[in-house]
Amino acid sequence: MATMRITTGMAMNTYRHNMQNSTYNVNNSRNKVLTGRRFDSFAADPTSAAQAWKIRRAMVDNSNYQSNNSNTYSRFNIGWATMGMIKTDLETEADAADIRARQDATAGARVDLGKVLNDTAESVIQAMNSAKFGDHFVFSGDDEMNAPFSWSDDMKTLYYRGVNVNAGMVKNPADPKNIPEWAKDADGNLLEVREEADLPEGMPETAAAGSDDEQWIKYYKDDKEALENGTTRPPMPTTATIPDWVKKDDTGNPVGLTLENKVPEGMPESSTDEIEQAWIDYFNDQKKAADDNTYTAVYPKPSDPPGAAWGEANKYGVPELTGTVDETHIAYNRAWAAYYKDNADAQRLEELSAEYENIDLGMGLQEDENGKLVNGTAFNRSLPGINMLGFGVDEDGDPVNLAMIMKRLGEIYSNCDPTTGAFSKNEEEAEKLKTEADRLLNKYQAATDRTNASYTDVETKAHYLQQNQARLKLQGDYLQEERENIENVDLADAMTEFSWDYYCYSAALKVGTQLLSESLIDYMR
Amino acid sequence: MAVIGTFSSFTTARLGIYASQASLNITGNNIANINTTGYTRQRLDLVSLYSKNTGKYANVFNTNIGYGVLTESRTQLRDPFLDIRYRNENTNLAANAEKYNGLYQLSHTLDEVNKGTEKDEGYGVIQACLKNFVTALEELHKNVGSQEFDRQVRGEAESLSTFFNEAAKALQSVYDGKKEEFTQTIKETNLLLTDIRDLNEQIRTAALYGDNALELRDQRNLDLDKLSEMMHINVEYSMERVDQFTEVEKLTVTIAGSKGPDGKPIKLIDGIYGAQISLQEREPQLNPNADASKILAAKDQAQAKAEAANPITDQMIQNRATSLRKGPNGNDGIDAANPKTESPWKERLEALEEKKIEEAKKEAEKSFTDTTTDAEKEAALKKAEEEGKKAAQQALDGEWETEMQAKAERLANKELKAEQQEAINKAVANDPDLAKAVEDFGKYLKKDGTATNDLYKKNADGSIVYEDGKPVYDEDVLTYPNEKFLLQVDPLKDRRERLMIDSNTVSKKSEVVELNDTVLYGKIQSQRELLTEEGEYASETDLNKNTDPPRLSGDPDASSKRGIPFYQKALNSLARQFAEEFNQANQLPATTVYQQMDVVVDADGKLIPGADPTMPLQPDQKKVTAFIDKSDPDNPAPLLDADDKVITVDDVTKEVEQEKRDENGNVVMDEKGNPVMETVRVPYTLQDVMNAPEADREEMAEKYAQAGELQNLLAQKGVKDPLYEFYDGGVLFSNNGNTNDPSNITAANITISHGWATETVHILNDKRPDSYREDGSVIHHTSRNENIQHMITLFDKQLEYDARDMQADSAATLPIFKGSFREVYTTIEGILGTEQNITGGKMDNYQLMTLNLENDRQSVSGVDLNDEATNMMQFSKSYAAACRLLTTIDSMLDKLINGTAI
Repeated sequence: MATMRITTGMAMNTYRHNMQNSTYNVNNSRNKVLTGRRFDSFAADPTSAAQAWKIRRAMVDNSNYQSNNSNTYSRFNIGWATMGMIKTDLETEADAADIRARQDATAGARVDLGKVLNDTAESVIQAMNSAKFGDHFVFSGDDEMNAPFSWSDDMKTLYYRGVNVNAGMVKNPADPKNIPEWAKDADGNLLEVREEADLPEGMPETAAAGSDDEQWIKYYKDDKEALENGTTRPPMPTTATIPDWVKKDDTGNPVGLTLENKVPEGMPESSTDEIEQAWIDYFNDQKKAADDNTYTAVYPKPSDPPGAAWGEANKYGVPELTGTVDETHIAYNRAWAAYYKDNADAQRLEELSAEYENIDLGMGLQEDENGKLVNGTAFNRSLPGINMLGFGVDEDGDPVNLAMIMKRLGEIYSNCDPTTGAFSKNEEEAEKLKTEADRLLNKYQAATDRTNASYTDVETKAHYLQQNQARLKLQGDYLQEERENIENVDLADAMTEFSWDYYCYSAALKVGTQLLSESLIDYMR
Repeated sequence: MAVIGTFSSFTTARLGIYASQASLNITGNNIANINTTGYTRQRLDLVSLYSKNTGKYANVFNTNIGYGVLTESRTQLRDPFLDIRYRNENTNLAANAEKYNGLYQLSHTLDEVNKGTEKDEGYGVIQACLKNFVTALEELHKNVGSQEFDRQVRGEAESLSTFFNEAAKALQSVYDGKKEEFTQTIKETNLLLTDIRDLNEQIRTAALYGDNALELRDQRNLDLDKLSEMMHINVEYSMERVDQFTEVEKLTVTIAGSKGPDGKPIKLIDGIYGAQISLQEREPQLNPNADASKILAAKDQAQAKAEAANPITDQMIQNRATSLRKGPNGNDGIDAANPKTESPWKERLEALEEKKIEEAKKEAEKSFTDTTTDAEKEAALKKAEEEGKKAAQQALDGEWETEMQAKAERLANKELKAEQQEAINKAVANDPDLAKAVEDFGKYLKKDGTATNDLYKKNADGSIVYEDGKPVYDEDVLTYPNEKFLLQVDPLKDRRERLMIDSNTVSKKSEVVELNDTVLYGKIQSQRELLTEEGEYASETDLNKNTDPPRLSGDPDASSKRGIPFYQKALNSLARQFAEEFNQANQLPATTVYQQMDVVVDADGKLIPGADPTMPLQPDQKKVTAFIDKSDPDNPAPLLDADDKVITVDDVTKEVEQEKRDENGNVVMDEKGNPVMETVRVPYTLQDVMNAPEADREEMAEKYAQAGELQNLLAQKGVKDPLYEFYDGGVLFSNNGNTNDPSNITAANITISHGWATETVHILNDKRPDSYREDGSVIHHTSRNENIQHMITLFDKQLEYDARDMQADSAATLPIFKGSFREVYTTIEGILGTEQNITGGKMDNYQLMTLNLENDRQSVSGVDLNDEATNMMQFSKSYAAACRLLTTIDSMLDKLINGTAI
C-alpha cells in the first residue's frame, strides 16, 4: 500500500477536525441526556419533527375535546339532577295514582289536591328555570343567557322563551270541524240565508177536520209551500169565521203569508267563541244583504282564509297584516289572527324544540362545502326545556305540557266545591269538567312518563359523555405516549451514547497531548 | 587530479559547506514557518558542479571529476492539480456553509421544535399561539355570551399577532444582516482580487530578475483559496512573452463555467490586470442579439478589406528606398549619411586591402620561377599591390551598395507599413458595415427596441455623468431596479488604473460584463440567493418565462430556490389567510344587518338634501341606497363618511348571483331540477382584489380596505335590523391597530383591529337572524354559537394558499400550501428544516472532502517536524563532513608544501 506523507500540519488539522467532532458529539449526547429529547430542532430530524407536530396538534385537539366533554358532561349532570328532582317531586307529591284515589274517595280533598297540583306545576317550572351552569340556563335551548320558562301575569299561561307552550289550541276557522253545528245541515253542508215564509203566530198544529181552523191551517201550509217553491199560491179559504190567529191586515182582513230572509236555525245571538261569532256576523250580514236589495254582503266567510288580502305570509304562514287589519270584521279578523298567531307559535315551538348546539367532542367534526356541519360529527348539547316537559296540544285540544296539565287539573280541582267536592253547580258543566279531569289525569300519566323518558335520555347521554371522556383520556394517553416515543430519548440509550461519546472525547484529548509533544526533534541531542 | 588546481579542492569543500549551510537555513525556514498559514515547504535544489570543457591541454588519460556542489535554486513542493480540486471543494463548502448559515439564522425564528414557554413547553411560539387561540375559541364556544371569554380570545389573538410581528421582524433582521454581509463579502472579494493582481505584478517583476518569489506565491495561493470561497474560479498559469528572450509566468483567474459576451470565460484576473465586482443600482436589459463575435468578424472583414485596398508592392519599396537613399534634397539621404571614406567603411577598406594585396601577392608569387629576377619580382609584387588595392576598393563598393540598399529597403518597408496601418485604421474606423454591425448588435437595448452600447448618460465631451459618485443611467436605455442583487465584473485594470487592452472586445478595451442570475456559485451566490430567491412566489419574469428578451435576473429554476424572501412571504401568506378567513367568518353583509334608505346624491357622492329619490333625477344626480344614521331616530338621514359622502351599499358589499339555499343550507331547485339563482349582496374579500383585472386592482384594494372601516362606522352609527340586534361582528384583524383595514395584511403588520380592541367588534357568535314573535318582539338566541364552531373548524380546515394572494405576479398556478393553519406553519417549518438538514449534510461532506484535500495538499506541501529534523541531522552531518574535507585537504597540502623534501 502506498503510504502518504503525513505532516505535522495534517495531523493537527485532522486532530482539530476530529476533536471538533468529538466535542460536538459529546455535547449533543449530553444535551440529549439533559433535555431528554431526541432532537432539538426541525432540521435535526425533519421526519420526526413533522410527526411530533402532528401528534402535538392531535394532543391539543384531544385536550380541547376533553375539556368540551367535561363541560358538556357538567351541563348534562345539572340537567340530569334537575330532572331527577322533578321526577321525585312528581312521585311523592302528585302521583297520578294517588290523585285518582283521592278523587274517588273524599271529594272534599279536591280543592287541596288542586292546590298541590298547582304548586307542583309551578315548582317544576321553577326547577327547570333554576338549572344553571355558571350563568347559562341549561334548559333554554340556544338562549342560555335567559331563563327558559315564564308565566303570564295571571299564572295561567306558560311561555317557553316567550312562546305559549299550549300553542296549537286555537281552532282553525277553515276546519269544517270548527264550523258551528247550527250552520251546517244534517249532511254537514254549510247552510245559507234562505227565504222562508213564517206560519202565523199562534197557528195550532192541528184542528178538527172540516173546521175553519183546519181550512186555514191547510191554506197557510199550502201557501207557505207555494211561496217557498215559487208555485201558484192557493186561494184563500172563505170560512164563516176567521180564527184569531189568522194574519190580518190593518183593516182586519185576512192576508196570506209573506217571504222573509232567515239565518240558519239555532244561530245564537252572539257567542264568546270568535269563530262562532264570525259565523253569526257572517249570516247576519248575508241576511242584511238579502233583506236590503241595495246592500251587498261584505262579511267574509269565516272558513275562507284572508289570503292575499292580508299581504304576503311569513315563513309561519302568517300574513303580513295580521293583527293590524281594520276593525270591520272583528270576529273574523280575531279568529283568523288568533289562529295564525297560535299556529305560528306552534311552529315556533317545533323549531325551538329542534334547536341544537353542536360541540366538538372528537367525533370528527366536519363542515361540508357550504359550511354546514356534517351530521353525526358533532354532539348536540342543547336541552330545550319544552322537550322535557312537552308542548302544544293533542288531538283533543288538551295541553301536552306536564306543567300545564297539572295547572289545568289544579284549576279544575281548586274550583270544586270545598265541601261537596262538586266540579260545578251546573250539573252539565260539572260532568264536562269531570270528563276533562279524567281525560287529563290519563294524559298527566303519559306526560310524566315522557318527562321520565327525557330524564333517562339525559342520563343516557350523560353516560355516553362519561364513556367518551374515558375514550378521550385513553386517546390522550396514547398520543402522549406516541409523542414521547417520537420526541423523547430512551434514557438508557442516551446515557450509553453519552458515555461512549465522552469516552471518545477523553481519548481524543489524550491523543492530543501526545500528538503535540512527540517528534524526532525531542530525541535529538 | 591534475585537472583541478591544487587549491581548487578547497572550493569543493567550501561549496559543500555552503550547500549544507544553505540547506540547513532552508530547513530552519521551514521549521520557522511550520505554523504560517499557506506556507509551502521549500527545498534547496543542489546540483553537482561539473565542468565538461577541460581545456585544450587536457590529458586524455585524466578522469573528469566534479568541482563540488552548487545551490541552484530554492523551490516549492506543490501540486497544482490538488489546488484545483481543493478550490472546487472549497467553493462547494463555502456555498453550502453560507446557505446553512442563513437557514440556521432563519431557524432561530421559524423552527419551533423544543421551544415555548413553561406553559406551552414544546409547543413553540406561533404554534402555541395558534393552539391557545383555538382553545380560547373553544372556551368561548362553551360559554358563549360571556364577555370574559370573548376577551380571552382577543388576548390570544393579540399574542398571535404580536408573535407574527416579532417573527417578521426577526426575519427582516436576518435579511438586513445578510444584506450587510453581502456588501462585506463583495468588498472582501474585491480586496482579494486587488491583492492577487498586485501579487501577480510583484511576482512578475521578481521573475524578470530571476527570483521565483516563493513567499509571494504562497500569499497568492492563499488569496486564491480565499477567492475560491467567494465564487467558483478557474485558475490558469500560462507563459507570457516579455521580450525576445524572456518569458514570465502569467496567472489568469476566470469565473468557472461562465461565458462572457465574447463567448469566453469571464476574466477576473489576467496577469497584472484585475477586475472588481460591483453591485449596480439597476439591471440593464441586455440585447439578446448582441454577439461580440459578430462585431469582431465585421471588424476582421473591414481590416482585410482595408488591407487589400492598401497594398505594399515591391515597386513601392524600391521607389521609396531610392528616394530614401537620395534624401529629400538629393544629397541628404542614406547614402550621404554613410560616406565610404569614414568609419566604419574606412577600416573595412583597410582590412580588405590587406587581404586583397596579400591574395594578389600570393598569386603573383606563384608565377615566380628560379629564373625570375629580383627586380621582376619587385615589379610584379608592386603590381600585385596595386591590383589588390583596386580589388579591395571594388569589393568595398559592392558591399556598401548592397548594405545601403538593404538599409533603405528596410526603412522604406517600415515607413510604408506604418502608413498602411494608419490607412487601414482609418478605413476600419469609417467602415460602414462595421459601424452598422456595432449599431445593430449594441450590448444594451433601448426602450424603443433599438440597441446601444452606452448604458450611461454622457456629457457633451463623451464622459459619463456622475451623481453622488454613481454613474447615471441613460434614460433611453431599458433598465429595471436591481432587485436581484445582480453583480457585474468591472473592466480589468492594472495597478495604475489603466484598462487592459483586450483583443476580444469590441472596443479593444476591457469592458464591463454583467453577470446573470445563475453564473456565480459559492459564498457570494449563496448570499445572493438567500437575499433574493422566492421559491414558488417567483414571477414569470423571475423564471424568464414568456420574457422576451430574457432578463439577466431570470432563472428558470427560481421556483425551487428558496431564500429569506420565500420564508417571509410564506409567513405573510399564513398571516394574511388567517386574518382573511377570520375576518370573513366574523362578518355579515352590512346590507343584511343595517337598515337602508334610498337617497339622491350629486356627482361627488354627496347628499342632495330633500331630493326625492322616487322622482325623475337631474343628469348629474344619482339614486343610491344608503344606510340609515341612528343619530336622529325621528328624522332618518343617510350615514355619511368622514368626507361627508353618503356611504352606499356598494361601498361595503358587492352583488353576486348565487344558488339559492334554504335554511338548512341546501340548494333550492326549481320544478325542472335546476338550481334557483338569486342575487345577493356579500362583503368584499381579498379574492376580489386579487382577481380584479390589473387596471382595477388598486381601486378594488382601496374599496376592500375602506369597507372594513365603514363596517366599524356602521357598527357605531348604523341602525340595525331588529333581527340582527345581536350582531357585533366586523373586521377582527387589520393591518394597523388604529384602523379596521383588512387589506395588505402581512406577518409584519397583522394586528387586532381597532374595532375589536375598542370592543365595537366582538367574535360573532352566530350568523342566523333572531326571529319575531307575532307581537313584534324578538325571540333571542343568546347562546347560539354556530359561527364560533365554524371558526373552530376553520382551524382544521384544509385551506389552499394561492401564491398570487400574496404576490399578484407569481407564476405558481397550483396552491403553494394546502392544509390547516397549524399544518401550514409546520410545512413552512418543515421546508426550512429539511433544507437545513440537507444543506447541513452536504456541508459536512464538503467539509470532510475539503479537509481531506487540504491534507493531501499538506502531504505534499506541508512542513513535517520529523522530516525537517531528519534534514537537520543530515545537513549537520554533511556540513561536518565538508569541514572535515577541508581539514584533510589542508593537511594534504601541508604535507605537500611543508613535508615534501626538495
